[in-house]
Amino acid sequence: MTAAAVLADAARELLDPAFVARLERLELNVRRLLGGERRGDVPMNRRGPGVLFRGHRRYVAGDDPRFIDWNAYLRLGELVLKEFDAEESARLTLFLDASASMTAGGGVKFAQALRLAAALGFVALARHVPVRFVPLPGPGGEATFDGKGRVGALLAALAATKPGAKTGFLRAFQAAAPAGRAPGVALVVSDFYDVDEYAAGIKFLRRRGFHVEALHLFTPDELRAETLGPVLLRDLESGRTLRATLRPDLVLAYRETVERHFAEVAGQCRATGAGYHRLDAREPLESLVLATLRARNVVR
Amino acid sequence: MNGLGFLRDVRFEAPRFLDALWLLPLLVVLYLLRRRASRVDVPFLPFWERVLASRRRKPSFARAVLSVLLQAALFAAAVLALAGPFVETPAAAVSRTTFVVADRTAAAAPFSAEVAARTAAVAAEAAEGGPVALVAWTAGGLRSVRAADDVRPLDEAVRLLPPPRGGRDPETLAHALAALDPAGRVVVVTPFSVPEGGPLARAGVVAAGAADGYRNGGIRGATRDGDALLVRVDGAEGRGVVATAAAFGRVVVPADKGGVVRVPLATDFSGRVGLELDPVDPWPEDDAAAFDVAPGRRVAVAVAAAGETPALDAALRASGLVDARRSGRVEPARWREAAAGFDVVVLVGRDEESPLPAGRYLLADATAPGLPLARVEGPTKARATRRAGEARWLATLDPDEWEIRKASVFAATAGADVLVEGDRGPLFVRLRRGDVDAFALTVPPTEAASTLPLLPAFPLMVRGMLEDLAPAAVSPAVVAVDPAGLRPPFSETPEPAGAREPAAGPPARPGPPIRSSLRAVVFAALLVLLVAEWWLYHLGATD
Repeated sequence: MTAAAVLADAARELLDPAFVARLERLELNVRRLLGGERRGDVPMNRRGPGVLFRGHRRYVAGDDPRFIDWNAYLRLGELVLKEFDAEESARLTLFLDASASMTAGGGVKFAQALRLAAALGFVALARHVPVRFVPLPGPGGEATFDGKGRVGALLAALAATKPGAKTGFLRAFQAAAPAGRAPGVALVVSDFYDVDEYAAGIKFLRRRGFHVEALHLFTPDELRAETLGPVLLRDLESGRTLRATLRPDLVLAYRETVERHFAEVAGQCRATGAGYHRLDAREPLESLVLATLRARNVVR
Repeated sequence: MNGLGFLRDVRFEAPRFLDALWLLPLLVVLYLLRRRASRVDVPFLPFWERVLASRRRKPSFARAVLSVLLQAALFAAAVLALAGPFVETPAAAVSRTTFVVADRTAAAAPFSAEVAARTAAVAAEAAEGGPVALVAWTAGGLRSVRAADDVRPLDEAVRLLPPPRGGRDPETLAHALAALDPAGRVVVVTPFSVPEGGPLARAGVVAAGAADGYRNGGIRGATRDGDALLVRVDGAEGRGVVATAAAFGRVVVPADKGGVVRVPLATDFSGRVGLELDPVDPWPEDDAAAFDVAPGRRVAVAVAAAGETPALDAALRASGLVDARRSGRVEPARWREAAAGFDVVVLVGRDEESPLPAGRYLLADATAPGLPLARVEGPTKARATRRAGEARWLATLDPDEWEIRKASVFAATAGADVLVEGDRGPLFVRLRRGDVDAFALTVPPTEAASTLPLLPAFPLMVRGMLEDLAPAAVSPAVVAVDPAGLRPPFSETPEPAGAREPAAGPPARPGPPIRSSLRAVVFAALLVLLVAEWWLYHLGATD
């Protein structure tokens, strides 16, 4: 099944067919995400058989001879053993922030979030990694997709997601990851303006055993004000307003406040063992995925 | 400035700018129509709230109103500054320059030292009140010796006064004084008094001390007096009148205190006579004059008498005034017919029955109706008692020597001017009634009637009567060639001893009002308002 065949008309808006062809060569770096390369307060030592080949190691006495890679022995003359990732851990949960704040900047941020989720979801499905899509804050809109044939459904579900709700990370995470459900990798695509719950939400996922990668989307417009003078500021999520006269010093102070928040988000994520990636939503998707995320070993 | 009262005196250099104040209400309208705040959607408002809470207070309506008022005040201040406000305060009286004019004309030469000393004293006194300029009046005008801002000492400048010379031309002096600073004070130091209304009279005059008795003299006029030219002089005591004429050459007649000098002149002289005072005085303009003497003529006398009048005839001849060719006797009864051709008619010993026709008469023992003289009694003795007339030709008559042996008694009525009185009535009367001009001798002009014909006064009386009755005939016109030259050009008399207080000069004028611009004050207020508005804006009070 070619890429063009699996994309519905609506899904074509999220991913360019040419880009999709390039995405097929990627895979989520699940091993790194699920492996012990990252330290955190939630230790992850799950290894063993699974459908995801992880690599070779030298055969030592006592290893299960069923996993000896005889082809490698013929090539190398050494006995090596195949290793696989655990099946339960190779599950991707896509948390997509669909709050009203994601529409700031004319909706560029939310559109990019959709495309980013679509790209990563496609990469996972193409590698037979089940994908569960969870729009935040929820509830509702969740869906699980498995197999490459479900790419179109995933993209359609993404395309059907409309922003406008108020963010609530913790409650949404709690609903999406109840106790007993297998964790896996959690990609949180958000602008992280839920200052009250984002840290608690990340911690919750980590305690549940998720490997969290925070994809923090922002636009440069959020850090500056295009208009000076008398303005009526309106919160996109709560609708509250504030009348003010913007001056350059106030705009600078606001930028500093936002930067501090961004740094705080990064710090909280790292403190909980989650990955943090600040992504400029105005950057082309190809650059985000093929360059930025690849350089950060989110994909490979 | 007295509190804020000076605001009433504020005026503006360009008041047309004040019309812009009518635009003030527009500021309020603009505020009400101000651009509404544009809506800006933000992803997370609490960040802005955090920033704004730390930077400003919430704008209040009161601050907004204050801001509008400040802007209105700014606009008004700018308009006022453009209009150029100022106040004028009267300036204090400024010290004025005193011009001390020293009389250095030739007339003041005898008093040069007194003038210099008095000038120095006056200048020193004036210097206490302001600047002093020293000026010399000489050669008909003024010459600056020391300007008001000259640093040389006054006493040094006084020594530089020029020597006295030149005449005293009042017109030139008046123009020169008028050219001085009209705000200044003029003091003239001169040894002479000044005439009323002259240019010096308008200035302050200080006497410099002078000798007594020095005055301007001059020739004031001349009249013919028979065989003499009577020259009226003024202030010519000790001097002489030099008369020159082609007919007689040069004659010098000393002037006495009487003020009239008799220059002998032939009775038939006519022509121009030049007169000059010798020596001339410092005002020589009026010391010389020329007169044209008209040809004279004698009096034609008609005598109407019944008998011989040898004494009268002799007296007429002796007067030197009777034109023998045109004079003579006429029939007493027909004298009226011939009277028109004579200057004087002498009627002797008859009372006319009708009034006298217009003319000049000498009545001797005669009268006529209508005259204020009437015969009241027949001949009788009498004697003269008093001489009442003041005529010069009557002064030689001694009443005690006049004895009347036989004469009628006359009575004089109102209108008769009795010149000699007798114990029985008037003896010599001057009569004027209408066009009749007469002398009346109530005594016959004969030795038999009285001793009068024997008196030396009798021919003088006759001559005097003829001169009075026919002055044009006996005293021909004497016309000055230059009548203006007879006026004293600048008649002055020395000042009495002691200084005269100088006349009050022009009052001290206040200086031009002092204009104090208020622009700087308005600009300072403008600056303060700008700072206040900026402060309010910076606090976020504006909205």
